[in-house]
Amino acid sequence: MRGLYLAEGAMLVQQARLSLIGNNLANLNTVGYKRDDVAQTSFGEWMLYQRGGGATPGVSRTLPAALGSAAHNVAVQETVTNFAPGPLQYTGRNLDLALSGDCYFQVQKEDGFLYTRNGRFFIDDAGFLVTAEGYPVWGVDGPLLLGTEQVEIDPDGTVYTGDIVQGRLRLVYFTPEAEPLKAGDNYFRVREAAVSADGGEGRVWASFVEGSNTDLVREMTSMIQVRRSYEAAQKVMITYDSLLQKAANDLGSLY
Amino acid sequence: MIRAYGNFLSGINAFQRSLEQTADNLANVNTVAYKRSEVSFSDLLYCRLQEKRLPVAPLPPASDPQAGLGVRPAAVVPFLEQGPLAESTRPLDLAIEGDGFFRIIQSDGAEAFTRQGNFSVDSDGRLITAAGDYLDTPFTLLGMRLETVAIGPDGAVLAVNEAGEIESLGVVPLYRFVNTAGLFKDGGGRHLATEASGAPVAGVPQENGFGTLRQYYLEGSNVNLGLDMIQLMTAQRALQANARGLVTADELQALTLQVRA
Repeated sequence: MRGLYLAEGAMLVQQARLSLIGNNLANLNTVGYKRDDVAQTSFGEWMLYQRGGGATPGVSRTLPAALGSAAHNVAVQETVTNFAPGPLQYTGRNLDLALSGDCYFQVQKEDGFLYTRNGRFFIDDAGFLVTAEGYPVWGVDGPLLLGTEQVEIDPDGTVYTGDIVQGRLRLVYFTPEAEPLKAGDNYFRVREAAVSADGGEGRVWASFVEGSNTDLVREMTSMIQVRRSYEAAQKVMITYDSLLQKAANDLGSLY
Repeated sequence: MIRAYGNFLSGINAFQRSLEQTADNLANVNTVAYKRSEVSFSDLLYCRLQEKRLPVAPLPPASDPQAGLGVRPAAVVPFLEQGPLAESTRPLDLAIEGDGFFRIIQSDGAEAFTRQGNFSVDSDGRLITAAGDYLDTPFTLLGMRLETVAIGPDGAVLAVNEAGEIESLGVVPLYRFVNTAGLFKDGGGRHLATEASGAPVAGVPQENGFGTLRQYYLEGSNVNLGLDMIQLMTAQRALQANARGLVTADELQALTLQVRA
């Protein structure tokens, strides 16, 4: 019976892969999106031995002959977010900001800070720089109050209206223990202590946005792999079923 | 049930919305003072793969694998850059170069804001828009010779009356908002103030950062054919990719059913 469950495991893992491919493809045009991949694993391997002990010539009768190894089952080990930069797309809108370097914008939700590469910002009715959800974007000294849409933003994040400096965007870097988790709406959540404002090489590009890093060709290829792996597992399942049929129906009968 | 269906479906819906917006932009490539918009997307919430009843290894590193649930349109982002100024021969064609809106009053008395400056005059001497709303000015052109109306870059209006004397009539005021992107587009070039945009702030052309008025000019549409064609192509291909995904999800479903054919 083991083979049936193995084939089922393989099919379910392929379903999980397709689910992630689906999310990557749905977010093909989502600003600042980072694609996810599945890492799959087998639950350790174990040795199969011939029943009834070794009949192999020259081998002691007390040691059964090894037939080979088999996996207990397969499962998803983890989903890995790929943080490769997406392409910078020109928009011409002065509040569209793209980042280069491993940095993130810091925004404030009621229950804590979120981090994002989506720099498509707005001004709210009180004059604060906000995201599409209305969360304030942080400058170096707290929420960035601009009061007008007529601003220019330098590559180092300094915000000007004419010659007047309005403030400076806070760019943060994740430390290795940050373990960023996706929180939806293009945000990442990290452990509080795992960000730092130093790192240096981050730059802000106004009038650009960072596109999704989903690679269409790669996802379509993965989709074909999923389709065929699923089919292979299905064939194993059918074969196993016919073996079981033989065992159940034919083995005990005389005719 | 294959869980990927929902993801691909959300993608198809999103890119359809994107195509609609691009079509809207392209249809208004010649509309006076039209501002193009783009749909901006966000990924949906992430759930644990275990909650989707998919196998997850109970082995280290147990990072609790997550799967996304697709995409949603998050915002329609208006692009407010200046449209190109095009010369005209009509004295009542006005373009705003820079920040600001004209305040217009609709037939039901409600206020609206527009940058469409192709005005004409009604029988009461009021300046009216193509849609029939009248421009809110402190003066009328009643008794003036229309061909003599001169509007300065600072909004000051001069005209020669029937008696042949030059009269200074007043200034065309402009209005602006803290968050122009928050205005509600009401069709016909009208924009309505909302809670998000904040209240209108009145001013005079060329003062306090307000724009300059250009008589004998109209502001063109800021639709950028290149950008919108790229939007069109990416949205179309992305939609096709997601449709392909939906077919694949369906094929997996069919394969599952064929196990006991």
